[in-house]
Amino acid sequence: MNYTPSSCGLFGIMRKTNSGKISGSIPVKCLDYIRYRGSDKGSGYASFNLNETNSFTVKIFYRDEDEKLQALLQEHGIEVQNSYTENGKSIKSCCYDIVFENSKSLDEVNATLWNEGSGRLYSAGRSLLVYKGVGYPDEVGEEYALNQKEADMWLAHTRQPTNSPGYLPYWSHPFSTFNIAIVHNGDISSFGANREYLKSKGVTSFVGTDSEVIAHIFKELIGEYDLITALKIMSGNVDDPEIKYRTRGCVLDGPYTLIIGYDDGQDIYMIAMADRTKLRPAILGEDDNNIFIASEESQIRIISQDPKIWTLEPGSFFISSMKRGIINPGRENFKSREKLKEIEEHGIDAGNIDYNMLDREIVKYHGNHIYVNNVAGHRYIGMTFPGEHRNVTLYGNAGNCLMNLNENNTVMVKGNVADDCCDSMSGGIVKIFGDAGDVLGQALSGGKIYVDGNVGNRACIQMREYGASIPKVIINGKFDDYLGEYMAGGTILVLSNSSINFGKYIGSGMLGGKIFIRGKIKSKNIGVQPASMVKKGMLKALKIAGIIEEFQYTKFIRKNFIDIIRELPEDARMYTRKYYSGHQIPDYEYRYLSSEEKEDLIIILQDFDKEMWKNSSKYLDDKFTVIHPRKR
Amino acid sequence: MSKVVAKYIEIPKKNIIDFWSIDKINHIRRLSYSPEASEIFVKNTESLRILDRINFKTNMLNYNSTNISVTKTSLAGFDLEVPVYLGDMSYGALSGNPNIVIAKTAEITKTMAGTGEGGLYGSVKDTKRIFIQWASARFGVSYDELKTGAGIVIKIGQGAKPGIGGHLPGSKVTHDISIARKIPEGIDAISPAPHHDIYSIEDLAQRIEALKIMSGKPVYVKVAATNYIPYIVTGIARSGAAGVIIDGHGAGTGAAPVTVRDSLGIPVEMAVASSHNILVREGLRENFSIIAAGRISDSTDAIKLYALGADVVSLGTSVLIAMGCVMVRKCNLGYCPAALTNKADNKTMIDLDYGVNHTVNFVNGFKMEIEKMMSVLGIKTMKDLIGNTAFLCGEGLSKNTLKVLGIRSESTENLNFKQGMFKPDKKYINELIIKGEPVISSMGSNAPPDVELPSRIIDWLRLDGAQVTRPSIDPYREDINLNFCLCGGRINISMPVMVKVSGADKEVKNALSWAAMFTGTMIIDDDLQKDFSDISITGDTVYKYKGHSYSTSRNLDNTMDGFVIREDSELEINIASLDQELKDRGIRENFDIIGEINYFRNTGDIVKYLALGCDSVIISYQIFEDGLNNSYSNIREKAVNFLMGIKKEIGLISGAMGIANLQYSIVGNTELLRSINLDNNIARKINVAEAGST
Repeated sequence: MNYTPSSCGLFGIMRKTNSGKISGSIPVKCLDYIRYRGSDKGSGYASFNLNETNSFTVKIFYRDEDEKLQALLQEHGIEVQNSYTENGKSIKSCCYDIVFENSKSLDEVNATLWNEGSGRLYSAGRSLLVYKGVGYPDEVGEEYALNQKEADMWLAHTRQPTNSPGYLPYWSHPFSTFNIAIVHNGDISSFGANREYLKSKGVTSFVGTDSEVIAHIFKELIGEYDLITALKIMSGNVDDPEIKYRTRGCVLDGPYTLIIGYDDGQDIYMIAMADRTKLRPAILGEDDNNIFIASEESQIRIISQDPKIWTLEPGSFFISSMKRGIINPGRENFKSREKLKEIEEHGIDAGNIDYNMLDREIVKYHGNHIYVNNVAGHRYIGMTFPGEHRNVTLYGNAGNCLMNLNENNTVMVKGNVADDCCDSMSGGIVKIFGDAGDVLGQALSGGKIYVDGNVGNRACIQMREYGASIPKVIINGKFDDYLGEYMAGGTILVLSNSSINFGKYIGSGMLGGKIFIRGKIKSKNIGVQPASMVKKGMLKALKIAGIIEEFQYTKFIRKNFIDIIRELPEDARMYTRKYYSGHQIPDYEYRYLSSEEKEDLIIILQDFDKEMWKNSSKYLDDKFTVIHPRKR
Repeated sequence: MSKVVAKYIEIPKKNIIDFWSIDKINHIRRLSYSPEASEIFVKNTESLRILDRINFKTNMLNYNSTNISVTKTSLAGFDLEVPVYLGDMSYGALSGNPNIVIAKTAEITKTMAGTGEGGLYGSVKDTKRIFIQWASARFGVSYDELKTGAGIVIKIGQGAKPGIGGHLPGSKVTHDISIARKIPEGIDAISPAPHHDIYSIEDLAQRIEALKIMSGKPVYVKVAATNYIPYIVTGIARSGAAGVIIDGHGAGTGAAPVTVRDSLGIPVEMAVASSHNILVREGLRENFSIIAAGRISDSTDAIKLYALGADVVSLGTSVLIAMGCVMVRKCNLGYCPAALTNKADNKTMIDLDYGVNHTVNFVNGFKMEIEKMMSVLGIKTMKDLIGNTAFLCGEGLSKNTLKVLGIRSESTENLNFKQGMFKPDKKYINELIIKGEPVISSMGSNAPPDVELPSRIIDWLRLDGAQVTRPSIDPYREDINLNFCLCGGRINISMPVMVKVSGADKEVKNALSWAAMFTGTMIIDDDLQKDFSDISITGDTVYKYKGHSYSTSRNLDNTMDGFVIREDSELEINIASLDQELKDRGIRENFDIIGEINYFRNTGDIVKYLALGCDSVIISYQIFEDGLNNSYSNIREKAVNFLMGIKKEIGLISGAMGIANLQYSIVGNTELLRSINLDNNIARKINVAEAGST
């Protein structure tokens, strides 16, 4: 059994119809920028060039004589029309333009090659060519001279494997089958079940990665369903019970962010997809010429002057095509991340500092206020001086793990920050003028975080108070799922009016503290509530037992579980309580703030207004959704 | 006035089979009284634990040897007198003084101690030979504290409960604990199942790098031994860690859900051998330490683990026993007769000198036994011992097991899968019925096949636990989808369990039917009951639901919607072979395979049946009735508790396995199973790989 989970960095770029082809040097540059996400164990690229005269090309890593390979293809009814060889660093790659009748024949050839241990067919399509190897992104780019190639669309991937023989590129991404290429960052828990499904459909040969399975599943589905339905099936979101039942071996489970490249003969598509919990980053972008998908924002900013940038919503998909542009943006009502204007100040230029070295430069710097220009994805800022009283202003986009463990410093970011900002912070203040990524302020136990823009998944999870230390977070924009999960103290204040789309599962597992959200939140998005099917059975059972009346049943069946709880009679609650005994569902009210609450909040809000140049104190007279732990 | 415990208490008689037998406890006590080599090359011939079935080749033992052997090694830049790590018991799980005893013992014996995730208590922070833990809840971490010790441990998982986070009940969160952990007093201290900043190897590499930059200390990663352990360890080695702590199935804990504790994870001996070998193969073994943890009960266990590839062994439960633990397994309740895991309220505490003296003696005695055994084996240094299996051989181990261990056997016969009679755990079922919550216990598992005798094929199987490459999911507070869609999409149930009520007394039948409706699942009955017709499947040899039917015979008739496979001694094989046959014909997606069982050990069994190929499992009302203990009061509530308890436990396992949509991931996915020295013919029939195999 081979098993190679992938954890990686991704990049995708597609031109718009009115723009020129994209040089292969672009994906190499953008992938190499995040080479620390991968390793020397594998990188790869896929190019798509839509052209009506394209013939079908396969590429095969092969250890033996070409003639033997051609004979094998012939045996399976595949006619080779044109051939050339790429000499990869570790193994030769035979490239053939072919004609074939039976689509199963390619799978059969692959099974034979794999069983013999002689090679692997790794690229198959009309407009598609895969280039993959063992090495860092720039090395593999050089190996195939990608800077001399161009394409309508490129996908790119750098890999951090946990196991592979390491000397052959079979396990590198992209994975490809019939006009499809995928790159994937994640780990598919369902991959054993998916593989079983594919085996029963005649796909018998696997190199053993979960990612390879995705390409085959997509191929099976796209043959039978339209694109949207295929993506919905793969992400487990299809509603039709019969389709749901028949395709239960095709659903991907587990954390994944993936990019699919696909040529349907008329158009080429670039698709991004993330699982419901969206544990891996997916940054989307667009400018006048191109459309982008990336693991980190800086990958887009280094090649595009003023792109629109946003993030993929958890559990959703982004679809774009060369001819139609963005078909599904992957986020409702999104506001693009702005690049904030850089102010010329005397200070450190981060432009030439390695991604993990900026912190050390800041420590060397003398003076009370430190300005850092050109921050572009630098990680671990503040890691070595959490206890000091520095005042740092960062211009640009801060990378992961900003101000972890902070105790006293004041940090201002004129730009966006990536994931894991302010983890385990116990004091000080962090002001973010752009957006924050996922997991902002995890285990925050003191100090303040102010965000002008939006925050990603799981903001302020495990936030807590102890003794006199009460952390405070103000978010001016919107938030994704699991805001304040496992919260055990402190205050979260969300100022943007809740008529815009907010995340789900707010305050799940909440034990302490309070969340104030201006405006009315949909109550189904608070905590983790039982599915409506379960609610129905529950109410029906209560009716049969005479615990609730018919009219109550009719009333409750339309309501969300969280709203039923307080209206149920006590003898019903002794049963229904089982659904929230693990703190899954906090309590909430939609109301005006009490004078006590206002007194508390006005102090912090005035500070926020002063620090962030805002005028939001007036909002305290509005109605808020107030979320707090349920009394036991 | 606080009460002080300063001597060993009498070991109570045991009425259960316990891995920590009275013999084992007495051996530890002998060493603790006086540090002399007491027992070497201990044989447990009756035991089915794999480590106990690894023997020393008799022709390689020279009892007259006068060789001097040295147990010295180094870890995190410190010289160790003996490769022992006193492992990872937190302040909170232990009541304070025991934490000091452990840290002091490490100083005196020149070994190393792990602090667990609860911050540093009292004079612990003045000691140097400690590893500070960075866990998912960040309890007690600060810049200063992280720089205090010899190294940092990122705790991803633990062997006692792979995929489940720590849980300190609110009643144990006293004022002192609240200060040390920086959390509110009196409120449950729950650690999330995953680290929410570590969802992949590259995330782990990022956190390791961050902690290294911050502290300048080496960073270690602690994981549970699960299916993909060799690959996970390789990933850890590549991500800049100085070493790994591999914590095996059966390891001790303050509190763990019984079903997870018993059903997930693989033995440390398999994990260590497999990880060591893959690291050597990948050229990653140099300058990387493997610390083996979980159920290391004596020096004989330790020397075998060194030989299989461990640089250091971790001692936890045995250290507690040296401090006076008598294994009453009540740590989670805050009541501990030996004042070790009691509530940290200063009312009862162990005497520091008494604790330190005994524990130091124990570690020194442990060291002398290892020296003695090395001398008999003619091995002079640890370097010559680690990864050297030349003097080991197996007995009663399957071919696949031997292959993972990298040793040969003196006898080739495999073990009969039926070694004992199945006895249901009535106490467990009863607790499920009374509380309606996952059943919690403390200390290590006694599950088959390692401790209790296996009586069924699934007793030899374990489920996967998710970690690092795929995070576990917190089932209490996150949305895990346990809904199952059956019968061509016509049946939707809220969990893969239905209840057979045919033949039950009216009272039991009514209560279970009602509870099934309340929890969103179905019943199987002889006839339709008025109130429950929507959720009833009826029949005897053919089960019918609204014009659709399930056959109880294995006749692949296309007019059927599925198959019900009833319990017999080859239930597991029957499920797996039908699943395979339908797949071979390319028609698997058109049918349901439903297993029907009359008893289970715990809910882990149900999930194993799913992984073998079941789309759902029917359980008999008798399981419920047996657990009632003839108490029929509040029967409706009890029935709801029973089904809700099962549902929550399945959710726990699903989350621990990192599965958000159970149906899509589990059915027929034997990749999520591993066998523990199961007969190879049977393993092949059910398509399950051996633990630790690559």
